[in-house]
Amino acid sequence: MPRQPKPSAPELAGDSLGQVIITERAIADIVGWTVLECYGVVGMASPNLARGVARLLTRDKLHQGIKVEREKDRLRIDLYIVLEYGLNVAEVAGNVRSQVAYNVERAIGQPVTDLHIHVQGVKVGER
Amino acid sequence: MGRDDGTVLTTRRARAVVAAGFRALEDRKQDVNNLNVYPVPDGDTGTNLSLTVKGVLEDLSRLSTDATPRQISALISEAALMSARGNSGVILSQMVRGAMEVLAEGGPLTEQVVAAALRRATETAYRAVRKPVEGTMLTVLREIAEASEAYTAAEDDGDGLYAHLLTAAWESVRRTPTLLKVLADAGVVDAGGYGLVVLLEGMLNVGAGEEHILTAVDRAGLALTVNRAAVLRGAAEEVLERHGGVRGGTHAPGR
Repeated sequence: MPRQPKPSAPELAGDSLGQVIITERAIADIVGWTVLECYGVVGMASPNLARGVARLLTRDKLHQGIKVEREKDRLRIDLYIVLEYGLNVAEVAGNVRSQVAYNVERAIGQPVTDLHIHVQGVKVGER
Repeated sequence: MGRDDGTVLTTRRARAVVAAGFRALEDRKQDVNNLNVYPVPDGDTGTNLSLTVKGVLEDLSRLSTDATPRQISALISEAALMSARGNSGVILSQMVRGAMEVLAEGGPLTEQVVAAALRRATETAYRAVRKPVEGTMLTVLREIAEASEAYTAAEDDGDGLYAHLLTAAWESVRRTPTLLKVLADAGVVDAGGYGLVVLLEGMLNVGAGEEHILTAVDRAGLALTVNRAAVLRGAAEEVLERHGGVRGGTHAPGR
């Protein structure tokens, strides 16, 4: 006779049904959508400046402007962004920081330990 | 239409109007902070708006009393940019920049000019964001601008532009939870939108004896509307009372 009652669902290991894995790419997607809603942000840019000029990434390539690195409990995010001209750049960058940190932690339940904002350029908005 | 009693932009007038707006914001700063759940529920919208306006007021206090409308507008724009704090402050600085582009042209501050300034403020504020989120202070300003344009385009005079736009403003604030789910979930109106209208209402209620931007007709109309506005504002404040402890509630970062 087993000392424990049989579990009602099959077990994989211990008391877990398996792992939930949130990929770095998924985190980058969350970050990308958050950033586009941040006031003052024109878009994401590639980390590498082509001939010193920040090129805006198209919506399907937003993740190229976001680096996510995870190691144990650490979650480091680097963002490469282009801001609207004529705004308080330091303040906008600070707002982006807090919005990204808040949305990522709320979405995945893990705090962002390092968040670096790289302002790659400033553009005059056209629409 | 287009009443003109010679009201133009002067340093004294700008100081009196901005000071009145600042006092109103200071009075309700904590209310605005309590409403703050979006984009990050950090309860600082009132403080940020207040600090931004304070910076403008301080710079205005150093401006010569015989500055031209162009000089006054440039100073206000620059001050708002430099003292902008937080998301709401940055958005406000863009609204101010747009409005000041129109007021820099000088001339009497007619209803048409004010409506045009609100329109430009809206366009400038929307231009700096890729995906504008509705149900925020952007929406509230846009609806104020639209109401002002509709009012100035109509031929009847009613209670005056300012009374009309304040009513539209509070109505817009009240609608914000229908546009932005996170507000409805928390049972609040948008903090930035609420703060913006507190500021605007304060600016229009400049103290007796001070130079203001209202004509006598505007003042009479506004007096009539204050009750109507108070009812709408009351609806927002009822919400505030019921959700006194919005911060740290269900919208705190999950762990």
